[in-house]
Amino acid sequence: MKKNTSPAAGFIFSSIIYAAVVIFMAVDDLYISLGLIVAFAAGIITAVKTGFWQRALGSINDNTGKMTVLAGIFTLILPLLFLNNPYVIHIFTLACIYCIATLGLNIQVGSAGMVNFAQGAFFGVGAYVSALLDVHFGFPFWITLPAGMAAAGIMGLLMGLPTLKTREYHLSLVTIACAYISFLLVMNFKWTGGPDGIPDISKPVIFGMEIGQKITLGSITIPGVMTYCYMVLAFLALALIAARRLQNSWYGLAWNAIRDDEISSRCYGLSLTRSKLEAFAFGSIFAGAAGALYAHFIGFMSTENMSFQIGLLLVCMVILGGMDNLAGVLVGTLLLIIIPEKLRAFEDYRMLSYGLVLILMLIFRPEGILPSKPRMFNLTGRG
Amino acid sequence: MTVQHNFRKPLLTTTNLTMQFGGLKALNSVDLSINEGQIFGLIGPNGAGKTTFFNMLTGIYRPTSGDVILDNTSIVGKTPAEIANAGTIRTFQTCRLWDNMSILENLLLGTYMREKPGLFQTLFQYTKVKTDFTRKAEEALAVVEKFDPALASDYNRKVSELSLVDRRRVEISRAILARPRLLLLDEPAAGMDPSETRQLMGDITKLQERYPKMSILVIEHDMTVISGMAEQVAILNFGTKIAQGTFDEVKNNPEVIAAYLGGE
Repeated sequence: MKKNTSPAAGFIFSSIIYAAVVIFMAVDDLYISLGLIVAFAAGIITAVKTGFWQRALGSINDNTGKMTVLAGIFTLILPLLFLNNPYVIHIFTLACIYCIATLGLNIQVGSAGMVNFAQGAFFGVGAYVSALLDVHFGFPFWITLPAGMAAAGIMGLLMGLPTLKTREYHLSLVTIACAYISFLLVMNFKWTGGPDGIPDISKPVIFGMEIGQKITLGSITIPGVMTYCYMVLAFLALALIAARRLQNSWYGLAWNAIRDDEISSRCYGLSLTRSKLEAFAFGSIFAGAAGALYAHFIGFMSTENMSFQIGLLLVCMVILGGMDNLAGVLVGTLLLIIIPEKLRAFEDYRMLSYGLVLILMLIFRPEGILPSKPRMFNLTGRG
Repeated sequence: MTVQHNFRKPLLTTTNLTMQFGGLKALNSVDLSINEGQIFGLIGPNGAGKTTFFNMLTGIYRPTSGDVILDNTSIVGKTPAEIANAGTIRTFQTCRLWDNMSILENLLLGTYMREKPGLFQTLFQYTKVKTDFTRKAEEALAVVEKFDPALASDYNRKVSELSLVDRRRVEISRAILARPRLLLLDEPAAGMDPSETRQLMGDITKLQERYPKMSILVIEHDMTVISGMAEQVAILNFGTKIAQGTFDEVKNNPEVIAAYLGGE
């Protein structure tokens, strides 16, 4: 990467954003939350108007390495700041689990341009397979998780097949149908627990220690959710690395090519069938992992966690954050998990507000909060 | 003028190639043969069936009847990707680049059919992907540099920001990087002014010198554009081939003059 801006602007910008997020998460009161959102929005508009936003983003882009380390440190510290408030850690863990699912969805929606509303169903497949293997057969998490991922990947392939003949809106319609079919199947099968769901899903165990159990070290008590949170963070890190490598590889290039121009792609030897199925399969594997992590985190899985609404929410997260931009996807996911949690009083209007967010974004900033850009190559001795 | 070879074998042959859209015969029983290393011009007025012909050669349309033989193998019924793998690469009249991608990304995708790191290497040996990209990027920039050094130094720029001429250059470079045996250029000079056209035609002639085994089939509706470079030309009118030969031969063909140049 070319280094032509100092990291200072990026550091200041990230620290302000981080502080704002921490304060927002710590606040309990509804009206203060609302006030903070307004203040935050005003701050962003000011930053954009004064040019600080662009400068900061430029600085972040030019110092990707340092900024990744900073983001990693910030993320690792975050749960520690809420030692006395396990509920916040709980929400943060949920957000990170959803991040894994949206990173996968981004492969389809962002990279390959296929707006897939069935990611919630793949999430459900991962969750249910993992939960059923655990509850009925007593397999450990380290076997049920890969099984859930594999099942979701196979489901992705199967659902990808009927979409091959379709494009754009029609493809989205097919995925909506797939989402409803999976939902209804799980709802009506006996062995999935039907509408009652699956209770008593066990927690993962590492070296004899159950993740998600309270640890007491002298006078300090570490809430159980904290250990699970760090485990999820480890998985998120792996998911990010995998997503980044896929994006910056021949796979990512091929997905972008079929998104931009199918005819041209075919004339250069790209197989649409292959690329699209790969996008569905890889994306679903991420969703399957997220689903399994979710099921074992909550300890209970039911159909409402794999409904069409979840699929819609995941698409909103990707579009809000920025299609085909991994950092954007994470930002979009965090925003759409944390803000609704703080505004629980308006729970009834949640779906309405997702729709509103989507419409406003598509009108004012269709490229998302952090727009994607071409892969920046830096070849020595050139440019 | 063109490079002469002593020994030539036909690379592409079409026999009785016909394309019918409902009641319209877009192409009527066209026989053509292009030799290895030859620059061949296909000319005809708008609507003569030139692009339809390309669409059949590349598998986008399936001919109603007739055959297309590339290197002794029929390619009728094969997918565009299979035909590309067999060595036929085309450009488009409307210049179909991948618009949201950079110059270098477009060029790299031209090499897509070559050997490249697979899934395992992508996920677990990422340095191999990096070195592969770097190697192919260097090669890609060396190709585009021959057209315009500015394009090679501004390689991270989005292609949608480029001028039409530069887009054409990127498109032709991308095609070259696919190492075609048969390069199909669909009106490469469309939308260019006379001096840009001359330069582009010069560049294409130079390509032929650099890749002597590659055959090039150029579509043009303006006869004068390819007068200096095509060794053989064929004239299409209303889907029928009305003449073939060297440029000077067809130029004086009365049917061509009547149908095309509009002379009476």
